[in-house]
Amino acid sequence: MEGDAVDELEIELEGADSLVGPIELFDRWERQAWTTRELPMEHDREEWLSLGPFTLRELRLRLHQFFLGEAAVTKTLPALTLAAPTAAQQCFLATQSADEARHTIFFVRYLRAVGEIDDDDIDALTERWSIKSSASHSQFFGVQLERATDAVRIAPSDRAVWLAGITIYHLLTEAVLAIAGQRAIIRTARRSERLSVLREGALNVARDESRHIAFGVRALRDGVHEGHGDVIASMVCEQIPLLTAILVSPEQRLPVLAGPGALRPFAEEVSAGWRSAFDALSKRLRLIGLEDLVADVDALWQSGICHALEDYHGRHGVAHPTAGLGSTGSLGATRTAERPAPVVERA
Amino acid sequence: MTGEADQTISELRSLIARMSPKDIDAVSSDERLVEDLGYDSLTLIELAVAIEGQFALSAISEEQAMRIQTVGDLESFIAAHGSAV
Repeated sequence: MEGDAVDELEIELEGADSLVGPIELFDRWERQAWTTRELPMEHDREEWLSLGPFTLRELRLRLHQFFLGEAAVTKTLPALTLAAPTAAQQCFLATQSADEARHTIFFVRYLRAVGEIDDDDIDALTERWSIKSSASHSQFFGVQLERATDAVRIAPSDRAVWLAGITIYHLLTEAVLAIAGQRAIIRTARRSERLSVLREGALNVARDESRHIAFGVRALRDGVHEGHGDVIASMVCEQIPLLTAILVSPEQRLPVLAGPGALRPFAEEVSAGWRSAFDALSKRLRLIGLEDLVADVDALWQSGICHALEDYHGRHGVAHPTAGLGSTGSLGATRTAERPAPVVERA
Repeated sequence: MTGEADQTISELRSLIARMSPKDIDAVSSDERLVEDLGYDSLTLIELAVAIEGQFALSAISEEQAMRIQTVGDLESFIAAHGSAV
């Protein structure tokens, strides 16, 4: 089941690393267009209402996080669009703004269709769910992302500042956090086979994100070639503690009672998700020409995961379920990630 | 056994029966969660979350959790570590 979900997502992510130019990505956007209104969201309502408390809690957490993330990026992306160095890049980033708005609306309409919320007031929902979100999530989306895009707004012609913004936005938010979240949603939706609209919507979102990632990889690769690799590297290393804290979510207490052996498959899935997120980041670092950074990022990543697991233990007085998996399992990073990624130059 | 303990066991058994993947109305102490009542890894986690929400439970180790095999094991565990909330 996990393999199917991953394969399904990987199909949508094909092309994220093809290093194509912004106009080809614009064409891809036109070909891959979808609308929230085409999705029969009411179809999932009966199944949603019958979900067990664990699955329901997992999906609520993921969808609330996604909504907040999408709302934050919808607000912050225009600064990167206005400061883009070329008109072609501005054209593509304008399509991305439309995508982010569509994703926000998708999550609101879905949650309303399945009976989770009574209204679709985006501002009110943002305020309500922001209060409940974790400190690391709020710090990343509410402070770090806004700080990076505010800097672009203040100095729109500063290439290094723009690249730092693309790093936190397209590389860290889209390629790491968003894809890890999509993977978790699709995995959970596939467990409940009748949540087909959620799965379809999540795959549509992932397909959009593959274009955003492709744009970022190409822009950052150009930036490295121009001598701005240190700016990109600094932003990546600075944000890893927050990224790992968001992925582990130590505030979220997991069940401790389940037995016999019930928690192990779940813990393995969670750990595999962390490893996938690290692999996604290290793969893109190689693609943009920062392969020398991967070892440092690996160490920071493992340290971040360990710190978040210690935080979990401190908060709840019990080890995180992944702690019993051994060093490679619980750390969420593997040496296999160091294999060179193929580079396909097409534009 | 006190009336409160009886009530707790009754609530627990009702919950276990309701969440079992098998269509059953009642369970007994000696029935095994997996082999007899059809629980799998996901439904066991679902049951655990429901129980933790319904009864105030202190944290337990993975080793302790692994020893819970039957309805009776759960009853004993909740009698020792929890109370209805």
